[in-house]
Amino acid sequence: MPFVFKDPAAGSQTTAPTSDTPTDSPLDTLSISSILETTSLTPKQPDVHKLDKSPLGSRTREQTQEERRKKALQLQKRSRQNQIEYARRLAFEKTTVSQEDSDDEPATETADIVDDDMGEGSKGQPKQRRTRKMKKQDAFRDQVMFAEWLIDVPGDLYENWCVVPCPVGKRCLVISANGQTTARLRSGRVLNKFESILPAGSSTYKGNKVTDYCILDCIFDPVHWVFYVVDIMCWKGHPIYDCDTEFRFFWVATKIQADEMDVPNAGNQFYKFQALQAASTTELKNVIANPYAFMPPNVKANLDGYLFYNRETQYVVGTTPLVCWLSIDKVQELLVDKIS
Amino acid sequence: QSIREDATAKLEQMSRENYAAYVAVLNQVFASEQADGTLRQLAGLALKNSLVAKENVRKEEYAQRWLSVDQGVRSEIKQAALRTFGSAGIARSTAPQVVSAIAEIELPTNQWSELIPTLLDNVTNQESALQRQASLQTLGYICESTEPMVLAINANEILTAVVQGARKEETNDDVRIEALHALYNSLEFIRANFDREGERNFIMQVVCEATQSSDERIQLAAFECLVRIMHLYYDKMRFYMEKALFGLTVLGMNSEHQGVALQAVEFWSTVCDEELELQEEANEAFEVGEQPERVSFDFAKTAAPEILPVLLWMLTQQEEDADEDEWNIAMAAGTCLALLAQTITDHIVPPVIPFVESNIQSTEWRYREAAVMAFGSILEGPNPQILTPLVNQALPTLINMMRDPDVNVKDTVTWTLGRVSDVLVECIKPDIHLPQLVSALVLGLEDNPRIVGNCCWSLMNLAEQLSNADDTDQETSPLSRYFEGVITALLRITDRPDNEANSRTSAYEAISTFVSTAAKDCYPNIEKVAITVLERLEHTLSVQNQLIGSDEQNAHYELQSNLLSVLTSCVRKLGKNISSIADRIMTVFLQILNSQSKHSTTKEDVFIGVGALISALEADFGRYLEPFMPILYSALQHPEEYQLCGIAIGLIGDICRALGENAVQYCNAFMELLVQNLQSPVLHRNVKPAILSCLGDIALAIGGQFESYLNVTMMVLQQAGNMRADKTNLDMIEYVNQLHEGNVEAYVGIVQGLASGGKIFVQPQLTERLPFHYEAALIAPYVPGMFTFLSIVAEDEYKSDTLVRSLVGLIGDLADALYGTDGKQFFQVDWITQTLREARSSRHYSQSTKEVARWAKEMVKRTLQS
Repeated sequence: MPFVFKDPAAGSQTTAPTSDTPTDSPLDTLSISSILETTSLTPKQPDVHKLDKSPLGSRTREQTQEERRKKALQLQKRSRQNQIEYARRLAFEKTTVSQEDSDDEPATETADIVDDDMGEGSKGQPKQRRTRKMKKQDAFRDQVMFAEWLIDVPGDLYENWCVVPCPVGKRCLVISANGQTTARLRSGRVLNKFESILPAGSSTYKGNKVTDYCILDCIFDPVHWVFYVVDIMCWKGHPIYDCDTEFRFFWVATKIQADEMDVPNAGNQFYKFQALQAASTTELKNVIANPYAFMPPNVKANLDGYLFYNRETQYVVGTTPLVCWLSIDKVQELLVDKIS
Repeated sequence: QSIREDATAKLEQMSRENYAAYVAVLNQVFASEQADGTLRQLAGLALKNSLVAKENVRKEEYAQRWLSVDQGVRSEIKQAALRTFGSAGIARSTAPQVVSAIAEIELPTNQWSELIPTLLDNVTNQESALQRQASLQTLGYICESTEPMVLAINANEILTAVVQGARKEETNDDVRIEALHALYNSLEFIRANFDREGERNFIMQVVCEATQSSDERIQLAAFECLVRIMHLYYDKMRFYMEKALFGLTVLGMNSEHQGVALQAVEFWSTVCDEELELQEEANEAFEVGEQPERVSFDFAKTAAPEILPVLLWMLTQQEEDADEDEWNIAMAAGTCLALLAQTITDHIVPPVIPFVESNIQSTEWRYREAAVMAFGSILEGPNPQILTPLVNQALPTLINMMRDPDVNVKDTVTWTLGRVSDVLVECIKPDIHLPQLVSALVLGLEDNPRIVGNCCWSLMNLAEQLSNADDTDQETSPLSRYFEGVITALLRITDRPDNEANSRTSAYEAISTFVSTAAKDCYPNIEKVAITVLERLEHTLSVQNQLIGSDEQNAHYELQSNLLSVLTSCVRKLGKNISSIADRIMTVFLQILNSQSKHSTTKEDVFIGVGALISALEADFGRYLEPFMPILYSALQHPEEYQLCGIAIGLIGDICRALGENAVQYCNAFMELLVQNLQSPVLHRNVKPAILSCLGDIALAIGGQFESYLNVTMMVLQQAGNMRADKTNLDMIEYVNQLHEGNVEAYVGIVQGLASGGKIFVQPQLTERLPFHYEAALIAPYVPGMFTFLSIVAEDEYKSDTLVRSLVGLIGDLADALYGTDGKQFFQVDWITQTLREARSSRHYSQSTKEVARWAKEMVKRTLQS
């Protein structure tokens, strides 16, 4: 079965010349007027330069249609481009953007806290202030996997889920690249820029600062300057977001080692990184009874609630039902009462 | 009557069944001196029409048909036609056409080689002026239609004969005209002769002398030659300009014969055109630090003081009721003035402005119109800093002139305002000029259809130029406060039942542009527009069955297209916010699609609208898929309507992007139809690249589930990758570029869709807890093939910017997917480094290509270090 990429006109099986298009056929050769119309007896008038004084009025229907087709094609091409560059772009924070951001944006913005609560939808969402930088930040907006509020205990809670006790803090996306580390709130707004111990995250990093970038999903404790790592999307340039939950948590646990990442060691690197731990839901009762035992040692922040992860979900940006948030004040009502 | 029909049918049948007999019969009539003249002429034309066709396919077919006719028969026909040159009747005028039609077929196959010598002999030795005239005419036709290469061997003789006939010593004017026409047609292939000074001087002398003939037709033919010579041989013209052409053409512009004057103006338009191109070349050469190959002699600048006064005077020679399509002196002068402004830039301003100032208030409409026309013509070219104060000063006057009693003046005023909006929008101060300008244009919408069209154009230009193209989501814009008023006025125009001078279509186009460039504070109004348009569309459906006659139907479909186009703009602009009326929109779409209309452009417009709706609603579009899919499939099954088929293929991509993995349920059908279309010999080739990209869209959407299509897809891509363009064929180069771009996009989709997150070969550094990446392993066997293809494309010197962007993107994706594997070797080759460097640094490539290339370079570097 051959595929045809040549012009159909160049193919051998062209249709017979007679019936379909009468203009050139000898059929109307008996009408004098028609033959004289189609045959010029004088040489062609040469084309001249012409200024179009009614650009819209002189447009033919075909031209208008062609414009529309082109426009549609262009838009389609752009969507495709956006999609395939999405993976490339997310990882590659453009240096120009980060510089502009740091010039005119305060390091922290407390008013954003509301927007960066753990769950989706329960509180007001002040969005109106985010106009000026909107476009540039769009690439980073809503890049965190956001939980839905747990309303009902999933039927397969014990089989297919795991639980992560979370301390109080701001949910953010931490990107280390080009010798710099940037923490961004869910809105895309820059929370902070600093040098960190993460790969590619400091000017003193020994490896390749461009390609060893990391993207982490964290909770920031502003009081103690600790980023608690919930989840991981990229590590040293390897995208991991489409691996399942268990693998990603395994990766967090192996890469964000205690004694390694939680000890700021040089110059500017004040920020600690600590891995949060996932527990099996079979241990749920123990977790609820003593959550701090299931959090990293020396956690200074208070418990805020629990994230339930479906074991098989990939990292999905935006809101997903495969991750659920249960704040500490709802634990009794929604969980303890139901599972007991 | 029935006898005639019968005869027609018989002839028709004969031409199909026994072509040789058919031409023999025609020839019999044609060659017979006894037959009626008109009949002979007719037979000759029928003969000629059986030999030449416009489309290439048929042309080839006719040629083969003729060549298969017996030598003897052909020879007889040829002789008869040549004999007819001397015939006294009107059949003589047809003979040159018959002869040249045969020549066009036979000369390239090295047959009838005695023809040219025979014709030349006729021209030089024949006593009969008729014979000479017909022979020259035949030569002219042959030169016009036959490949220059074929005639090159006879170039010298042809030229000699032709020039001889064109000399002033030739006493027969008819012969001289034919000789000049033949010269005109042979100018292109006598380059070698033109390079030789002696021959060139002679040719130029003959042509220049001919411009002085007392016969207007000879003057005209000579000026036509001069225009073409200037176009083809600018580099050689310096000497002749100084000696003669300068004076001759200025004289020609003043000729009382309109045709001659028009060609003289055209001569200067051509000079400007050539010099503009040379300036472009010089700029390009300057950028890379080289000397340009050819230089401009600045003829236009030198001549400006002489020709400008004439051009300005010509502007005042308007026709009273100029028909748009009719070319006249004033229009030609305006064209030339605009070109001159672009060529000599700032120098045009001082001589033109006094003319504008002294005439714009004239009581005579011709002078007012000419003044505005002159002003409008020079807006492009001179430095905007020079123009800005002038435009600022003129704007209030121009806006006022929208109330001029003369329609011609108003027409030119709106055109000028449109040009200001287009190229000098910074002159229009939102607080000072905009209120009056907009209300003047809105007022103009009440005027006659031509003015409506230009007002719409002005409004579109304003909307496009005043909106920030980089920021599609502005909160507000200078036009926001006029949005409602303008839209209301435009909608009022569209209420008119007719579309005279395209006015209704123009108004709808303007609405579309206003919608698509609107700022956020206009969104509520856009929703209203959407609903209004939707209602009108619903109304058109209700009257669809009452249409009588094809005119009414065409008008109806055009109106639907216009409405659909506006609706589509609204959907694109409003995005998710369109949800509340999405059901209604989709209902109308489906009704139109199901209405059995034979009108495929309307269907196209609906499909484009559906595409916008899919992108706006994303996954929410899912609920319309069930009724829509059969229609989509049907369009994909009709490759003969290739425009529609092409848009349908685009919709597959939209659906895949919107539904992601959920698109998988439709993919069997999609793939089957796409493969069918790839195999179709009927489908226009322009659609094929889009199919390839579409395969990538599917792979990207469904990832690992693409496995079952991988084999066939790779076969397609490999075969498409083997297409090469003949480097002399620009169309083919462009097509193959598009094909390869589609190819690369398909590979990108596959690599990103299947390998993302996994590495293509092995993952040595990870523990056994990392699941073996099954999908990535699937691609592994195809990787070497991809690199071979990429290397071939990379080394093609004609690759386009967008192709390069896709290409380096794919290199980056592959580097990512092969990181830390044994695939590293693929990047240790020169062409990759070189391609990436070129894409990053060459000025031929766009900023976005450079960015992708920088990214890809880092990815490759990392993989090489792994």
